Amino acid sequence: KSALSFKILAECPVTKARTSLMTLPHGTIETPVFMPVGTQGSLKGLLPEQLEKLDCKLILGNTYHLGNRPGTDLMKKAGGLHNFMHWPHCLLTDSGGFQMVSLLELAEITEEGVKFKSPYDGSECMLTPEHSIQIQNTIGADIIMQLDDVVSSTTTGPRVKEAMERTIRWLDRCMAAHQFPEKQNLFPIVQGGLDPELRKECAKELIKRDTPGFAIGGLSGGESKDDFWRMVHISTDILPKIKPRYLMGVGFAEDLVVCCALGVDMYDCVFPTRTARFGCALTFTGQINLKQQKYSEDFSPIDPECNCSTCTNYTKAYLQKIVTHETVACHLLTVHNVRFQMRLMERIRSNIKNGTFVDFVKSFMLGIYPEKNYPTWSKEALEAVGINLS
Amino acid sequence: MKKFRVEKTLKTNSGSIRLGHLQLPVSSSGVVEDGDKKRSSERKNDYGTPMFFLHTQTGSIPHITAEVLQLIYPTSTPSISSQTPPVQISLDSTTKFMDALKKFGKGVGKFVGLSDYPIFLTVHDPLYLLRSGHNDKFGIALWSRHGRRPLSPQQYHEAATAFKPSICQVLSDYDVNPKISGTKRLQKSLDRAEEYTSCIIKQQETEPKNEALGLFITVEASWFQMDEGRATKTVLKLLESQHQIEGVVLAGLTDRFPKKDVEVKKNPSGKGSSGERERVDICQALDVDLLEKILQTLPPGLPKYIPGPLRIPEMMDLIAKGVDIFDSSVASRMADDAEVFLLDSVEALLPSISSTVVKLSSSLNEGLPERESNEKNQPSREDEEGAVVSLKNKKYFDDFGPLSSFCVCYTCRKHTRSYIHHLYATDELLGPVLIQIHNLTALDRFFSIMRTLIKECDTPESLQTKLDLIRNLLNNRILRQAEEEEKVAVQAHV
Ligand SMILES: [Zn+2]
Ligand SMILES: [Zn+2]
Repeated sequence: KSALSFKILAECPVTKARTSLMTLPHGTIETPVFMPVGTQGSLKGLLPEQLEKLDCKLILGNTYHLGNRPGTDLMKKAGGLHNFMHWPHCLLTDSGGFQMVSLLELAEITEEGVKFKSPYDGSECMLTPEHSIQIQNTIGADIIMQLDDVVSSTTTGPRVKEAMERTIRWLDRCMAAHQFPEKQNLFPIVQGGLDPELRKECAKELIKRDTPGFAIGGLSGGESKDDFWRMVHISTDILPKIKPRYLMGVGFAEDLVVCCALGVDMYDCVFPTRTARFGCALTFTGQINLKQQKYSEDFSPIDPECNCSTCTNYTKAYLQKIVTHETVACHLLTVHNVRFQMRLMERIRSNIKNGTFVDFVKSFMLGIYPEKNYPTWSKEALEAVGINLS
Repeated sequence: MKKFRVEKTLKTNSGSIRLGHLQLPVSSSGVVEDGDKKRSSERKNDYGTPMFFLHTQTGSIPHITAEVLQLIYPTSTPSISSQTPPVQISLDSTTKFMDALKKFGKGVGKFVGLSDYPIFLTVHDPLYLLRSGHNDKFGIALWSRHGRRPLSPQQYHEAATAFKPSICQVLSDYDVNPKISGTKRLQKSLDRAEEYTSCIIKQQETEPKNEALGLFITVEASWFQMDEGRATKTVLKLLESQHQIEGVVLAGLTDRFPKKDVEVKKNPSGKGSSGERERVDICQALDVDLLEKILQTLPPGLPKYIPGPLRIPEMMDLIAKGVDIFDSSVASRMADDAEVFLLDSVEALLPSISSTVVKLSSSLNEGLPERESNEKNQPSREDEEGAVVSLKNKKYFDDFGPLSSFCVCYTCRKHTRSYIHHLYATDELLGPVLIQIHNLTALDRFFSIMRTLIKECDTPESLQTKLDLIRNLLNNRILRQAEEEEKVAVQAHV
């Protein structure tokens, strides 16, 4: 009945990290996996073929944007997003709710759904759980997300509990509305703000339903890192080991490494592609901004060990001349940054397989913090799963 | 040894149409690593003319990275007559490169990620208007997004040494406008032309390293507009040192027309404006009489390059007058406006026009397996006989066909008009990438058709007939003519 199979290949003997094969209708993905965000049906100027060369086989599309433009009618005519953007590999779509609440000032949440004013003609519209699933069914992604009641991660009080409980009610409506469970995998979302009890309650309630995987939502929105890792830790403790866990909106290298240790399998974030526009390149020793004058005569590539086409053909000195004002520079840094995310995940996976994940985490952290001035949160998070950094 | 050789000339009333070869070795000092050497020796450095150079800004073809360029002109090209064009880089858009290039020492081609490509170093980006009033006895003014920068012949020589191009354009005091300049200003410009040319030639001779470097002198159209006699005299003088001069840049023909709707060019970070300079319009009304006059004074053995954004029909007119080289600045401009070249009408008629141009089999859009046939959804294309359409047009919203049904480029094989329309509607960076891929392929195809036609025609008349036929197809003249005739008939009846 499910359109997903999840096979754990290896588990870290110390931490909660694992590496698995996740088979979806459009291919098999090795996890832990990072999914770059292709908001409107393309990934920041990269051709599908370029993404393939970067070893990226799973990307994310935004339901809110695609539902507006080109809209569901055209999406249907085109035969879904895979066809429309000529992407033969796997896709994931969000529910549209988060975008709506964060992009539209007037969005208001009721039991029925998310009420909002159309940004195009000002008319009043409603995104219900049923409607979100209907759009996602038309888009046709391999993994689709339930509509959840999103509250800012810094919200406190009864609203958090209300949102958590409503998210569960909405999950049932989403599951009932889902037309193609044999072709698309609906993931529920663990909510509950920064309250450990609410998180536990939510996760326990969700796992009663038979869904192919689970997402952890409502984080990475300005809460303290100390709260952040604890919520992830609590959630992965409850979510079943035999199903994939997706942590929404996370993509900084350090966060990825720590959360893999906490047992998360999937991630998405706009950061690596967005930061490319501003001239930022990601490396294993932190990010560098190529706008800086100090690179103007640096004839080495961004990362001599990187095998992306940018590092093969271009020097930092040339990139310094063109970043932030030529679209080519944006493409070049996007290629490198996506490749960086893929390489990071490859390293995580192979170290889990080789049983060397703990050593890898230590040397990775030392790479970013050569003075060993590790942030308290990552030290504590890693200690919680048995890695002692000092 | 001369870089240019004419293989065949067909003389017509209005000029000579030529088929030629331009040899452009990649500067040897520009290629050092073994891997590069291997790759560049595989590439033919013999270019058939008529041809075009790839237009760049700040050293890159707009929207196209080195990786994507490989997809446009793969080493194993599907069409036997197509060729990977060499690259044009202008000094005004690369003023900030100087210090880095001097230290880098491997030339600008390697620096911008295009080490396999011969480089033509020109002075100005052909997409921007030149401003008046800033050239003086010390040199000329270069304009870039960083503002004005004066350039003396000495500095230009230093640039040419650091850039290591295969050919470079000699500086010119371009600031002569027949409408406002007096004869004194004209004389200054002519004198400076001689001065700049002899200066750079002298410098060349003192530097044996630059052996491979070829010079293209610059001939300003405005000289001829103002005083044909003096202009001719100067040009002949410039050509006296012919052994150093490999070709001619015909300047001032396309770069004097401001683009009416001056838009601020978007920059990817979304902040600030990089496009305060005024841009030139796509040139559609060239002064052909003037051009003929200029061409008559130039020796036939030199290749002639007209920089600037020209549509294909205009390029055809110029080829018919004996112009050999163009650039792809028109494609750079078209990508901004979602405009694509459509050569479908020509491709459809090719078998009847030429016996030897390989007819491309109708391209197969590589749809995904589960894709349903969308043929029913395809609107009629009868209104697309013209050479250019804009994908911003709403009618392409649900058009699931390729840009061109005859094109075998990456874009036409993989993507639909509907998708490209969507990418432009949502300002996605991929839109211009896909359109550049198609347009650069179409330009290559057009020039390869031109070369084949010139090769196979025995008389100027037969070639002219074919060129006229193609031009009409591209200009949608047939339709318009029919309308005209109808109108005339109706009027006569009344
Ligand atoms: Zn790289
Ligand atoms: Zn094409």
